[in-house]
Order: sequence, then C-alpha cells, then structure tokens
Amino acid sequence: MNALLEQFISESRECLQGIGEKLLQLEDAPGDKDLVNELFRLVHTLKGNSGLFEFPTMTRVLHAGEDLMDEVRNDRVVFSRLIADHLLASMDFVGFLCDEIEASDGQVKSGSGNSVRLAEGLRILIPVRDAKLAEGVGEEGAVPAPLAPSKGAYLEVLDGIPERVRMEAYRRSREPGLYLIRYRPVEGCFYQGEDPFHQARQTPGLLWGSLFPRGPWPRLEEMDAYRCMLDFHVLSTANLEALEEHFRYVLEQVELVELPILCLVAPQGEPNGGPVYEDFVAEALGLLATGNVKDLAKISRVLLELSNPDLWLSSALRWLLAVLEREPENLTALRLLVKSLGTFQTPDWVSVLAAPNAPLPAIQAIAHSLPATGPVCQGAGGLDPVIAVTAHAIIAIQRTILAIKDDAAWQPGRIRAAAGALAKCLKALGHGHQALAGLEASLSAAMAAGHGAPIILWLDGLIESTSPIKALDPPATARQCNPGAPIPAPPAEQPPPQLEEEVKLARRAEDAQPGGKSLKVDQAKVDRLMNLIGEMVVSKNALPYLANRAESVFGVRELSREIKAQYSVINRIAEEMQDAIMQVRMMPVSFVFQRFPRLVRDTSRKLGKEVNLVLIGEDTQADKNIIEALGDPLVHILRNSLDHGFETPDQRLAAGKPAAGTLTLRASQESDQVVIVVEDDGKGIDPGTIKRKAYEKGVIDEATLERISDQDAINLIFAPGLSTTEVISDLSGRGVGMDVVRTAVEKVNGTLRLDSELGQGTRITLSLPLSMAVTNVMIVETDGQTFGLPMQNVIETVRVPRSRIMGIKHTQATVLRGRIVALKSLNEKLGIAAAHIANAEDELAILVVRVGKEQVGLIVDQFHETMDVILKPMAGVLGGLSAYAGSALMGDGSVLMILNVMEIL
Amino acid sequence: MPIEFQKKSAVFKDIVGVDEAEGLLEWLQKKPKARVDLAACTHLHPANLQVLMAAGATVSRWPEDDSLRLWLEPVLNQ
Repeated sequence: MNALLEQFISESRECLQGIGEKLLQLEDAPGDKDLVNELFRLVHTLKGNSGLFEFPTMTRVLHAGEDLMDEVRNDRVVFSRLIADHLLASMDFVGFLCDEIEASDGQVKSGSGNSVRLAEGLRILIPVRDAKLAEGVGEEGAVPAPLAPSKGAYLEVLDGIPERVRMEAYRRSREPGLYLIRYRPVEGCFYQGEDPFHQARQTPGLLWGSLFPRGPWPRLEEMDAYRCMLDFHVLSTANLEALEEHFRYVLEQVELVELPILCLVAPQGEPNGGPVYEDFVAEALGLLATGNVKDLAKISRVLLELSNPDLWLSSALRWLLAVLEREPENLTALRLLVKSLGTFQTPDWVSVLAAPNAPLPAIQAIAHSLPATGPVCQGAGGLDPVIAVTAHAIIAIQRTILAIKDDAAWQPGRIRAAAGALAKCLKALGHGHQALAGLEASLSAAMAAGHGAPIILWLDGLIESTSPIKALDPPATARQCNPGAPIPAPPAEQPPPQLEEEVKLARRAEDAQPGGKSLKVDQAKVDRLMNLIGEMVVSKNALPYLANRAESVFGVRELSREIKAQYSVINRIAEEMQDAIMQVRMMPVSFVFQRFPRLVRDTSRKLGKEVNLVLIGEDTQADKNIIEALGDPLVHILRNSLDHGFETPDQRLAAGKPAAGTLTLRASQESDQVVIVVEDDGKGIDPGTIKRKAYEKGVIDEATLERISDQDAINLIFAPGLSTTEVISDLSGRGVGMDVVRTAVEKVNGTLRLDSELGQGTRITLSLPLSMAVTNVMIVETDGQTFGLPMQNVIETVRVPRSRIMGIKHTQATVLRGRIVALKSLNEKLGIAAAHIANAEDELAILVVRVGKEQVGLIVDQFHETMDVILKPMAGVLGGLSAYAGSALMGDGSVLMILNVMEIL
Repeated sequence: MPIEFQKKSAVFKDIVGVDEAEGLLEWLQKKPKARVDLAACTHLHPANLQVLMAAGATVSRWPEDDSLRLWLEPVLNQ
C-alpha cells in the first residue's frame, strides 16, 4: 500500500472520529453554529480526500453527507436526531470501507449497494427547493430518485425474450433466482470513456441481453453519434453483490430487479380457439396430486407430439417438461402451469410465489440448523408454518440463553427475560394455561436456584411429553412448503434493506474495537523518548571506564571482565532501542515527492514546456524533521529548474534534444546520509554570466573574479547577494530563493552541491543526515586534551613519518597516495603552544578531513575511538565561539568539546 | 483501421472503438444503401452501434462471435 493511501486512511479515521464526536455534541446543542460548521468542514475534507482515490462507493455517501450538512449549515434544514442517525450510519459505513481498503491493499470490493442506499437515505432528508437545484444535483452525478421498479412491468421485458433463449437460460441456470438489470447510461457517458455495451456484455452470469433505443432515431444529418441513446436490458444469474461490483461506477444508472427463475416460464403462441384440453388438465392434476411426475411427463410428451408446435399449448407443454426436468419436486409450480393450460394465462409467478404461506428462506435456514425441539409446537396444527418455525427458533435460542453459566450479576434478569419470551412463544403456538403454569413454576425454581437449569428441565419435559403427537414437524413442513423456487420477499415481512443495513452497521460500530494499528503520538513525546535513549546511549559508555578502573585501580580482573560482558549486552540493547526510535521517526521521501508530479505538470503546462518527471527511490527513508525540512527547498529547486532550466520544445528541438525534457528526482541512502539528486537536461548555467553578475553585485571582488573556477562560479548562485530576481532575470534566472534553499539545507546539517554543464543540464545534489539525534564523533587527543570531530568530516586517519612532511612556503604538506595534502597543526589552530608528539617510530598522527571539496590533514597527537554523542550546542557566552560545534558529555562524566572543522581550518 | 470502407460495404474488424463513430456516420450519410460486414468484428462501441441502428444499415454478414451476434440480431436489419 502506498504511503499516500496509508495517510488517507489514518486521516479518514481521525475525521470520522471527529465527525462522530461533533454529531454527538450537536445532539446536545443543536443550535451551535460553530459545531455545524466544523462538522461540515470535516465531512467536506473527508469527501475531498476520498475523491483523490477511486473509491466511488465512499465518495457517493460522503457527497450526499456533505450536501446534507451544507443544507443544515445554511439553515435550510433543521438538525435533528434523524439526520444524526443517518450521518452516523454513513460514517460507520465509511469506516468499514476504510478497514476494507486497508485490509485489501486499496481495493474496495463490496458495499456499492449499501453506498447507494445510504446516499439515498441522506438525500431524502434534503428538501428539493426548486427544479434548478434538483437538476444541479443530478448533473453532479448524484443519485436521482430511484424509480420504484414494479415487477409486473419487468415481466413484459421477459415476454420480449424468445422462448428458445428463455428455455435455454432456464435449463442452464443453477441459481434459484435471477436478476433483471435495466441499465440506462447517461447521455454523456461516451465522453467519460465509458463503453456501456461492453459493460453490459461483460455482466457476470449473463443469460440474455438486449439493447434498444430510448426514442425514435433522429435524422442522420442531425444525429450526434456521441450522445448515448441506447438502453440495455440484461438477465443474469449472478448474485447481487457481483452485479453491484460489476456496475459499481454506474450504479445509479442501473436498476436491479430480482425475479424468481420461474418468471422465465411464460408460454407463448397461438391460443387456437379456446380451451379444449380440459381432459388433459384434469388428468395431469390427478397425477400431480399423487406425485406421479413420471407419468405426467409421459402424457405431456404425447400431447406435445400431437400438437402444432406454434400453438400456445405446445409452448406451455414444452415449459411443463422443462420444469419437470429441472425441479420435479416443485409441485406448486407444476400445478399452476397445468392449470394455465385450461386458461391460456401465464401463471402470475411473482404474486403466487410471494404469497404469505411460503416460509421465508432465512427462517427455513434457521429451522434446519436448530436442534430438534420441534414437538414443542404440537398445538400448532392449524398454524401458519412461518409462525410455527419462527416461534420454534425463538424457543431454541431461549434454551441456549438459559444454559449460559457465567454467574453474571444480571443472571436473574436474563432468566426472567427468557421465560417471558418462552411464555409468549408457547401462547402463540397454542399451548394452554397448563403449560404456562408449568413455566411459571419452573421460573420461580430457577430464580431461587440462581440459574436456568429448572426451566430447561421443564422445557425438555414438555418436548418429551408432546413428542408422540408430532402434529407438525417443522423441517418437513418447511420442505413441503418450499416451492423450490426463490421467494421474492414480500415487503411486509422483511425489513427494507436499508433498515437491515442500519442494524448491521450499528452493531458493527458497537462491537468493533476502535481499530487502528497506528497510534497518533505527540511529537514532543517521541522527542523526549529519543532524548532519553540518547542519554542512555551515552551513559552506557561509562561502563568501559568502570571496567578499566576495576582492573587498574582495584585490581579485580574478574569483575572487569564481567562488567565488559554486561556492557556488550547493554550496548546491543541500547543500539536496538536507538534504532527503534529512529524507525518511529522515519518517513519515506515519497511523502515530499508525492506532490511533485502535480507541481511539475501544472507548472510546465503553464510555461508551455514539456517535462517528464522521473521519480526514483521514493521509499528511501529519513527522519521526520529531515523529510519535512526537505519539502520547501525541493519545491524551490524544481520550480527554478522548470522555469529557467528547461528550454521550450522548439528550442530543445533546435538544440538536437527531444522536445520533452526529463526532470529526474532521485533519492538514495549513502551510509548515514540521504542523498537527493535533482537533475534536468535543460540548458545549464553559464558560469561567465554568473561571475559577471556576482561581481556587479559585489558578491565577489575583482581578484576572485579572475581566479574563480567555473564550478565555484556556478555555486555562487547560492550566495545570499545573488538571490534577488532582477539580478537573475537574464542569466537563466537561477538563484531565485537559492540561498533560501542553502540555508534550509544547512540548518539540518546538510550539504548542497551544484553541477552544471552549459547546454547539457544541471544537477543539484542535496546530502542530508539520516537523523539528527545522535552524532558520531571521532575523538582525538592533542597536548593532553581530548576533542571530538564529527565523523562525516573525517576521511581517514594516517600516521606519516616526520621525514615525509615537507614545507612549502609557510605551510606543511605531505604526499598521500600520489596526492598532495596540506597539513595543519591542531595545536597551532587552537593556540596551544606545544609541539605535536610523535610516536616511537617518529610518525605523526594525521587526521584527513574534508573541508568543502578539499582534503586537509590535521596533525594531532593521538587518535582515540569513535563514539556516539548527543551534541549540545554551545549556549550563552560560549555560543560565540565558532570554533566549536558544541559539547557532549562523556561516559566518565567529562565534557568533550566538538570542533567545528569548517571554522578552524 | 477497425472499419474498412469499401465501395458499397463497410467491413468491421476486431474491436471498433468510439473514435470510428463520426466517420461511420458521415459515410452512411453519403451511402444510405451501403451494407455492413460484421463477420470479423468482436465488439463495437455503442456509438457505432447506434449509428448503424439509426441509419437502418443492412448487415451483409453477422459477427462470427456468437455472443455479439445474439445482441445485434434483434436490432439490426438483415
């Protein structure tokens, strides 16, 4: 998952939490304008963020939420608990999507349907003020009021499908239901790169599809080929989820209607006079009554052979055979079909199958999964099977509740509640007073005992005593009533999907732990932890001293060895701790890089240039402070490069370069430095112009002008005096804010380097430390004092025989690997009046350090180890001593002065 | 080219994209009696399809791709 997405998710969660809090506060203080504004802002932010990614499901809901809040904000809608409920449910949904995005690495697979429903729920709360507004909302791609799809109307569509196709679909389909999809693409969809025909053809589980014009065709001369005038009808066996997934981007243009597969069964053809097949109908019904489907098939086949295949009757017989083949157990359907032979009317499958005597599939499932407590509903002889099965399920659940043994404080209340539910179920099942009295008695026993066992015992007794009667075996009933076909839920018996969803979401909100593996911590706390760890790293350095003292002063060699062993353990842990805290603060450079593609695109477009941005090494990590400090300088550099570095496409072509320039932004890690290289293949910088301008501006004097190298001249653009626009305007403009860049980079101990070749391009290299907390220093000794030098300055340590040191004029130098290295004495530089001490072989200790681009040898007396220290800048009057970069505390309690190499040399 | 315009017939090949619709419309205006050969066509963008439907173009050969043929047969003329 990329960092931007991660950030989006964590920010979204924050926003969601904020929205939740504000909504709750608003319920207490509905008139609070500030709260409303704040709430709107949060929803707006969240929506804007979600729009950056392709999460139409999320954006749709948030967009609706934003519109609603806007109405509230402008006092057009009064904030109410209902609004709060809808918004909270929507935010739960968004939170759920966030979880899913996180879990599936940026994919949203589900929820399209819910999103449409939630968005509709929110929009319903917005009153339509006038037609213009409604139109405006529609144009924005918001959800138009859904057409209430009437199933009857869809049967007409089905009638339009040839029998052959329907028969084939009916035989092939394994699903109990199917969906009729009506897809009305928006007129302008071709301009959005959509191909509705392809979309329709790719529908999962496609059985059949057709397309038809929305209206009469215009004359060809007036026709706009790119205005979509086609609608699509698709019949599919896929489930709702798959279909919503398939049409997720155009969900508001799609109507999905679930139909039982039997709706395909619609005979067509010539009625041929009138009903003359009464004998056949009577015989067939008789066979059905005895369940003899085999013979029914036989006589149907005979009649079919005798009939003209174009007749309605033949068609009906073909269907009868098809149903016999696919679902011979579905007697209800067969009976209806046979009866229709006498009436020439296609059975009205939808209303017949939706009749209330058919148990709901969900309840059937429960009934099958429950233990056999069936006989309890013995009194339910003439009872509606749905009620019987449901009551049955409730009883089983109460039994489970009563069996819980957790001695909870609310145990008595729970028992009483379960008993209450049992009493009502028994009553509904037609049990008399006797049973209720028994229940009453067992309840008081249970209350006295403090657990539910007595009621369970009584309940089991009731089951046993009534089992021989076995008036109704619910699973059997369920099977018998099952027409083997899908039952479209009658609206009265199943809660509308939206409500159901709300219930689900509400539960989710309560159950789910306030998830999130990321922790938002105040940076100051992390900094404190880092300082403490730094202190620890330093103070562990005291242990080797202690070991030495144990051996040399107290003469206990054993103890010294043990201390050293302990030291190595603590050292390892401390280093890991340091590493861990560094990791906490580490961020990938992509955090800053991510904004550049847009910046480059917009700027180059504005300037009429063509530039390709290449990002390399985005996952290179560095300390948060460093990364943050990097942002502004890089923007400056990039802008300068785009503005003045690149030529226009014409100029580039004239110079023999490709029209589009390439801007490369490369990040990499080199030992403990992050190196960022910004490279362009533009026209480069002319050192001559820079020199002249710098001289004119008084940045350099005449002598410098004479001897300054081209490379140094180019680096002059970082000089403060050159950073005003009027100076720069005609020398390719570089230097605008370049000294700002240098200052920013140096503030985090980084270095900046610029190479440019006229006509070939420019390269700016930024080197920044990975982290600033702990500095690695080399300790040297001179005249009995120790000093530290930052390791990043140190190139090598060598011992050079005094004989190989030569005097050139007033200075000393030596030859190291064929290169002349100037030597400086540290004693001299620090004003110590002492000569350097050579070792037994008369060799001097020389520390080769980097000063700018040069190498200089620093003569010292002795080298010591390197050490991690926390560099404390000099404060107070000492702050003026530029020779020192700061001080650090050593393990033995002494203070180490850290030299500022640049200053002393 | 996904559509090859011949003297009296337009031959569709492979996938005919949205960009072709404009040209097809112009061509059909010039040659109202032309026929279209869809045999080698596997998909055509609805922009093209609605142009064919509006022009009442006659199909000389149906697509070999059966799934496409099933969609087109009811809406185009033989």
